Amino acid sequence: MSAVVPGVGEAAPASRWELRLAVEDFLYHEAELLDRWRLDEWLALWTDEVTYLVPSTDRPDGDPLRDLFFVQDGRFILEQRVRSMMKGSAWAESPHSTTCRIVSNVRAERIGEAAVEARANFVVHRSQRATLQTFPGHADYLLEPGGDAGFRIRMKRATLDLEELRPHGRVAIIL
Amino acid sequence: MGAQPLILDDRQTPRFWINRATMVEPEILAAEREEIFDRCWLYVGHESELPEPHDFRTRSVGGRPVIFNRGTDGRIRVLLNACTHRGMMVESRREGNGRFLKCFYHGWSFNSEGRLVAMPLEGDYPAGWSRDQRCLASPPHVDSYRGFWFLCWDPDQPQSLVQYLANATDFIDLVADQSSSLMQINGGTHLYSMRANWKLLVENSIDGYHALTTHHRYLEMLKASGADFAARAVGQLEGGAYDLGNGHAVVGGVDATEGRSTGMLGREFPDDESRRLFKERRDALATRYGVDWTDRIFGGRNLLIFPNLVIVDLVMGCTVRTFYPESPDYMEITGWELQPPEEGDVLHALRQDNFLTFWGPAGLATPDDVEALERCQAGFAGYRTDPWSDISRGMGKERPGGMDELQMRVFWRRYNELLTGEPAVPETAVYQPVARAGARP
Repeated sequence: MSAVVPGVGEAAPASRWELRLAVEDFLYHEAELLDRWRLDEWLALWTDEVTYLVPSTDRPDGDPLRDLFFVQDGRFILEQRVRSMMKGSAWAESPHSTTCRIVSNVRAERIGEAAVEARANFVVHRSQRATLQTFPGHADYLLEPGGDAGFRIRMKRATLDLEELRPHGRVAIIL
Repeated sequence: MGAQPLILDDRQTPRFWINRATMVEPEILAAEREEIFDRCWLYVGHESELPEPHDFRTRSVGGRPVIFNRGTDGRIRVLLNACTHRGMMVESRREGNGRFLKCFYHGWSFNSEGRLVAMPLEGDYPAGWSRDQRCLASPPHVDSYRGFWFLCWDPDQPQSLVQYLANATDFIDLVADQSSSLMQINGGTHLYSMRANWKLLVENSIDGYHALTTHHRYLEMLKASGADFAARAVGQLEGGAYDLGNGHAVVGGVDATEGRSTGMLGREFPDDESRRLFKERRDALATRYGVDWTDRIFGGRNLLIFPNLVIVDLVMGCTVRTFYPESPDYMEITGWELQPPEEGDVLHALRQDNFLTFWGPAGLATPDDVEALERCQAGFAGYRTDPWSDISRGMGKERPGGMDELQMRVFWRRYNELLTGEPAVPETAVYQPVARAGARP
């Protein structure tokens, strides 16, 4: 994939269609890495400074400085989360569950010279032993152009479109 | 339940076994509903969840729908969330603020005190029919202790809330004393579940023994963050498990590090500023309550209020959780974050980080508890071949520690007493409240 992203940076102004296509490619790539449990490569998609958020189901628009979230990771904890899942010490995901992510309804907008805001709907199907769980939601991204995959993630806020985390009980996977 | 014993409490050997039938059989759950959830004082919510008049929260307490609200008069109430006309749940929103509770089925409206104030076509009711007789029902007993509100569905419950809480009040005080006004439940609730029997979460919430193995990855994270376990352990004195009476139990410690650490768990302070602020806050509490009590506040505690309220205060963060069985192998859990509102932004940010890194359905600890308890439940399918679980650790010790299982036996003896009528004989001396200094709100 080209490192020059249409619609961003020094490149000539491109259409919204081209920008969205580039973001879609990136999000599909991210979903594939997560579904294949290639989490080290997934971690490499992020910028140095990272914010990975999952709000509580009863405060989908919550403020992480004030409200209780499910996930509120900076780089260190996100690295630890990934490491534990790759080492097999995360019992909730050991052995790894089988997941299938569907990403859709992608929109992207250029913000200033070096950032793109993107939003997509997702559905993560998670199968473990005899249970199948469905995690529907939408994800807001702040992306920066660059890297082998075309973008890097500075912020990802994955909001579950569920009213309760029941009967799922946990979100030990990355959304 | 037939002739099978629920527990095997053998003081001679000694050993303490639990019959796994209690985790599996629907008849036992039916008995629990009658003898425990319909009889005991149960947690409803925290005063800080209702800051304004007409604020309400709806929830299910002991299997019955309630509205936990604050009236026009500023008083907190608990109302049965069922219209007195034909029984429809009046309020279906989880939370909100409203002067009236309106049932859309036939249009009956109640005020925030539960009085029926308006309805269509009132004139067609017979003579003598009165709106005053059709107020929303309330539980027979509702009371609070230091901001924690409870109800009891049993009109014949002989104990007041304070009598029921017995010597657990000291440990609620150790939590409530952290604020000079009122501890605060944060916005955002962990509404999750487990495919496991509810009593497994009672045990797990006060179990020190599982931490090293189940929470291996959390401890690895702490190590990677530079946590100095040796230094922390030095400051932890007299950690132990205590019988608080009435089936309540606690595992708690005393912290003598004088503010050098945020407790046994939690990451190190990120900078000198946060360290200074933490020490400053600890010193202020010591000035108010004395050093001994403050060392206990900062020692942390896993507190069980029988049957299903858990307050885990690990200093770096504090969670309040309650949970109910929907079936023998499935429970619904509600987890909140409790914090002192006056802590300031820096310590609050540190607390949020430590809380979420450990707790909640996406933390680095709780999901592994969920997995463990669900696998226990799966293992219980073989209960007819091996019916016994073992919680004998520390039995016979004069002073059982936090890695022992006295606290679970305290729960199970009371449980057995309520279901069978066999008296619960304490294994150790019951914890006695201590005198302490300082005025409390």
